[in-house]
Amino acid sequence: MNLQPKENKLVSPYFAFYLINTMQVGVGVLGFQRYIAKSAGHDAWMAVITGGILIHLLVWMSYRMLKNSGGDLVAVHEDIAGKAIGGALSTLFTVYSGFLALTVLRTYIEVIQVWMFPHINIWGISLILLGVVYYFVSGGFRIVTALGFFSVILGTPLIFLKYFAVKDSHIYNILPLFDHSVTDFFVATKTMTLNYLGFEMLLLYYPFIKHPEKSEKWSQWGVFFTILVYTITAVESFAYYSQGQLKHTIWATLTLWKIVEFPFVERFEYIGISMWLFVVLPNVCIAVWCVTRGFKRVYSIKQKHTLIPVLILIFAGTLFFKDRQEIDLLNSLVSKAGYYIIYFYIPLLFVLHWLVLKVRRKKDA
Amino acid sequence: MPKAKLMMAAILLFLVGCTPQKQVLEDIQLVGVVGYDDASGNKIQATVSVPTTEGGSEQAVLSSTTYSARSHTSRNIRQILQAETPKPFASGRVSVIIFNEELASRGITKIIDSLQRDPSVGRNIYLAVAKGSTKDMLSKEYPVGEIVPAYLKRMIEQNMELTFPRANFHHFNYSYYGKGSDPFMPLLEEKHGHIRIAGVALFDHSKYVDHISFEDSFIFKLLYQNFRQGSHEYKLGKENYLTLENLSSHVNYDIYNANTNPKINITIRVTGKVNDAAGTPLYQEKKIKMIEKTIQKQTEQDAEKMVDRLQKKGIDPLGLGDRARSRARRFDFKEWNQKYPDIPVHVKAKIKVTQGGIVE
Amino acid sequence: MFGKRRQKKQDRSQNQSPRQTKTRLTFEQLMEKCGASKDFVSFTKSDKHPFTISYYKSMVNPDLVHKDLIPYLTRYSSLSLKELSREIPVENIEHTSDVQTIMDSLLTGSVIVQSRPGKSDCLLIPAATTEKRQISVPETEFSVVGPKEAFTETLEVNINMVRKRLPIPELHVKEVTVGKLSKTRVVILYIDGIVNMENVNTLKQRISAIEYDHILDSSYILQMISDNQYSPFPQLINTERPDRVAAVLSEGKVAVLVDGSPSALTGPTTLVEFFSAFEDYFLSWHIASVFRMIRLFSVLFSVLSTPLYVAVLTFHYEMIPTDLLGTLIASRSGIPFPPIVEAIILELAIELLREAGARLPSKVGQTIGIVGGICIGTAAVQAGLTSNVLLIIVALAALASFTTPVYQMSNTIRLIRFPFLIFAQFWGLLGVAICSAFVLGHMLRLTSLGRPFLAPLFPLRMTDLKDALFRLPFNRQSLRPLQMRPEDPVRFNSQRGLQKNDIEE
Repeated sequence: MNLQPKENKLVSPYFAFYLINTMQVGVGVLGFQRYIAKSAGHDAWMAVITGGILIHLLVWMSYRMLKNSGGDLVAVHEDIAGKAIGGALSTLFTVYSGFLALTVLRTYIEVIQVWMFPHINIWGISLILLGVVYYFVSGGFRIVTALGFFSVILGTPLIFLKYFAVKDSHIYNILPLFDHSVTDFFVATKTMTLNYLGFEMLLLYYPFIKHPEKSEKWSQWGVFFTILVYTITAVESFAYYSQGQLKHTIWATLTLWKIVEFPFVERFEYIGISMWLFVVLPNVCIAVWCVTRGFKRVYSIKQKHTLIPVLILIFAGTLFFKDRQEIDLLNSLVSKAGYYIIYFYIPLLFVLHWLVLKVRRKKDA
Repeated sequence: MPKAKLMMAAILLFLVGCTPQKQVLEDIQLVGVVGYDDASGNKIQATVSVPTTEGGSEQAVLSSTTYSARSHTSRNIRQILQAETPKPFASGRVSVIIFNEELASRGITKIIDSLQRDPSVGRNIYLAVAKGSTKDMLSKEYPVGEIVPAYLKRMIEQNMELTFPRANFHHFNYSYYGKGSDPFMPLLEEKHGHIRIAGVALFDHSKYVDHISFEDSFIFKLLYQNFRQGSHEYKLGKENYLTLENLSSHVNYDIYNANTNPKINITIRVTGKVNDAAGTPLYQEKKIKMIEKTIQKQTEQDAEKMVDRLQKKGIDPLGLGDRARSRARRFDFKEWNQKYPDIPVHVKAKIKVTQGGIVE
Repeated sequence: MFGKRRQKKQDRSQNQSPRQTKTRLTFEQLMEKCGASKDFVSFTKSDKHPFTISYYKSMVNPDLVHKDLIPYLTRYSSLSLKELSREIPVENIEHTSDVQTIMDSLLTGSVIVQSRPGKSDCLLIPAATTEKRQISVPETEFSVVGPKEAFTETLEVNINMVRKRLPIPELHVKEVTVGKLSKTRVVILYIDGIVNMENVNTLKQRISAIEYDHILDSSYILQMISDNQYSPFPQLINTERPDRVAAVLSEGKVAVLVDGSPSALTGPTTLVEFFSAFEDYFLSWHIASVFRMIRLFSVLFSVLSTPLYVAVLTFHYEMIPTDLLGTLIASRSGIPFPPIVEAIILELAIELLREAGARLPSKVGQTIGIVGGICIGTAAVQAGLTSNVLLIIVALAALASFTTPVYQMSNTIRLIRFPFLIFAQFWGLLGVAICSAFVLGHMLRLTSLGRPFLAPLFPLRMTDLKDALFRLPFNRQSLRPLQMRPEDPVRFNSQRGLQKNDIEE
């Protein structure tokens, strides 16, 4: 199948910033504080930073790998394991992308269900949201990128809402620093992984960036901006909530929005949740796009032919996971899979690919 | 293809049938204030105050009415209340929740728990304790030009800007769920046809145990937070009194040896102006120094007495434990709680009085 | 599904129009055909001079025939046609015997002169009368300051108005004729050397591909050559101001003028351009920028205010500010309809007023506006049918939609409010967000002559932002918009423009 997409379908390198950032900031921001605080308490915000630094490293690895292969993850797999096994591995990764989309969508619907409309029909809202996803994904990668761009533009101002919590915050809450053991710290970093997931979609959309080598700088800035967003959110939440209170607060960011008051509107969380649609949509769209692209690369099926079945499967998935426990399970499963993919699989691929290319070069020489 | 479009249209029409439950503004009763009283047989009695309108849309008049019922759980009370109202209740606009003293001293865990879970309840609502029955308090009319829910909310709100420490539902949760501090809330009473704040109601976790008078709430606020408003009366000499108007106050806690042998120094810095010092010439440097000294002495005394009283009761509304935790690694709350009543606390006040008034 | 239907239509139209059959007429047949019309004249003055003159009375200028034609024909009665053509003081005389050409020029107002009746060899003397309207003040794009000329229905006058403003040989005018019945002349204007020829070719190719019997206005063309004909958004700007056309031509855009239409099309365009009034360039840049922001805000307000009202009142009563709550409850009490019905009724009422006002002569229209606005509004509130708060919102929203300078766009804005209303009724604020997502997706997929519609916002072009949401001062406008990919992007030397002298120099 064609490796290089047409020139007019490509996006400028600086969009890597938005693509990376929008994929990493999703439903996680609404309630990650509780999970990381479970192990590392008031020190957990530092885990956000260390986790982020690891992501910087992984993005660096991915770029080395992709530059050398001159294509995407599928090409890397073929380089290492040949067509058959490589294809199987790529398929696994594609399936993982699909689950990522499902997790994000289902968690967002859960938020809607808990916070806005307790009596809402899951299948109804899921259908209409997937309709939006279809509309964007069928427009191609440029449209999906545009969505990511607008998502960052619309979502970033929401950080400033934390200002409303500042006057009730006790910054001494995050003191003393380094009050937890290294293992606690490690566990918190690991928990943080789920929130940073999504950048690995780079492995599939890489060929769609114009002069992709030039986009590395932007990707790294994208990761940096993600870390910034998460760190600000974590520090402010730790200062605003007591640790005991945080344990009882499932959606800390959303609860914080409850105190936001403007002269023309109170109870900002309803606006926030609605606006969050624009933050969640690109997550789902990029992941779904990656699924269709993956199938096209491996099995040469047209993207428009896979899109509808993939959306139907995701729709079925949103109906399958019913209550809080099951959604938690889904989240932790995908988180675990993502954890192994980014912390073990990508470094492993990186080393293997490097070795393979070295051996091959020797042979050629 | 036309078939596909028809299908789309059919699905859309079908979706229309599955929209979430509507809560149209005029078809619900917006509960403004909830009052909880204790009732016999382990029951609680809830009274809700609801705004109502009379007349058409042009000349509508707002007033409030109350409903009240008794049961074991707050959810069930809602059920019972529903039986006598024309429209369903909605809890999204609750602005004040009041507990009567007896119920509060029995503990309010259950009510807090159900409030906490309800996503439509805000976090900047006020909790309060009332002397006497909340039912009586809510069902009376007050000549203040506002309906009861708005009156209560505004009254508490503006006092928290002044001499009363900030305490809303979020602050309550902060201390209630967190370790090392105890919640407090305003204590209301009905007097001379008005509702007034009578003081600070102090809680030991979920139980109301003690209160500080409204006059002393300024001292409490000085210890509790930095703020920029409010005033307090001091005694000057034998018969003279003066009022210090706070311009800005800062409090600083120094906690030593939090894990082993704790000792606490509290420093309060107040800049204020004296407006009402009958007969004292305020332009004399010497006089001002004297006034500053008097205020400082009285503040230190009052504050130390107050902290001592809190320690004796074993409650910690100032969050000393929380602050101590931030000063020490591997902090042990159990040990702290044992030592708490006997920790030496020293308060130091630094007062700066600036010229007051527009004439000399 | 649409492709097939169109195919069928084409087949039918070809079968049913014998006019288009390519069988050639003889000259006699032509004369006979023309003679069937009452306004066709064909005569020989006298035996002294043999020339026969034929023309459509309604199409030619009688002065010209009387003063410049007949006297010469009498004087040079013995000359041949070829010699005669040199003597008659009219330019562009054609000497032909091609029946098709004769027919075409007869119908566009030529006089034909034959040496002998019945002989197809003849002179074609252009004598078309051009009845034209006076150039008037722009009405839909009125500006307080600046030029007060608007295009008229005459193509030559319109081209003249543009060329007067751009007196350079690089201003090219290319003509295409479209419409099987109307034979409308459509011209494409561009400045060679600035414009990207790709845009010109796209436009030319699309206009030539138009299959329609009559083209009576540029808005026909606008709809027919749009990239996405199913979109409610106009994708080219329709303007009646020659100054605006001159300005966009010098930016590297392409303009289209249509004979018989008092408005020009310009493209490629972007969404933000629809919200920039040409007056923005006549005011100082701070003021222009503020007005532009107000206009953009008013679009948002116009589209979202009623849907938000419906969403908040139907689902999210928690969000209403405490101070407003009493007012709202009071104004809603006793209203028999749910917010959505109330909103739709009022929105439709406003549309009704607008439509009635637009269809009536302006004086009556004004009365309708006042009667409708004041009487019906007040009466509806007093009767307790609608709440006064919503009345204010709807009226403001309607007002806001009129701030959009381009008429087509302001219609679109009023239209897309309705899907938002429906989504708001079904999913509250979330529904508004979902509908916005659809609209955003739609606008992202739109293109204008193949260039992205949402630029310079997406793809983000920092240099183009200088004249999008804001209008920066002229010395910052040294580059033409990159959107058009102009061949020569530099307007002037920015170094010289931005040079700053030291104090005291």
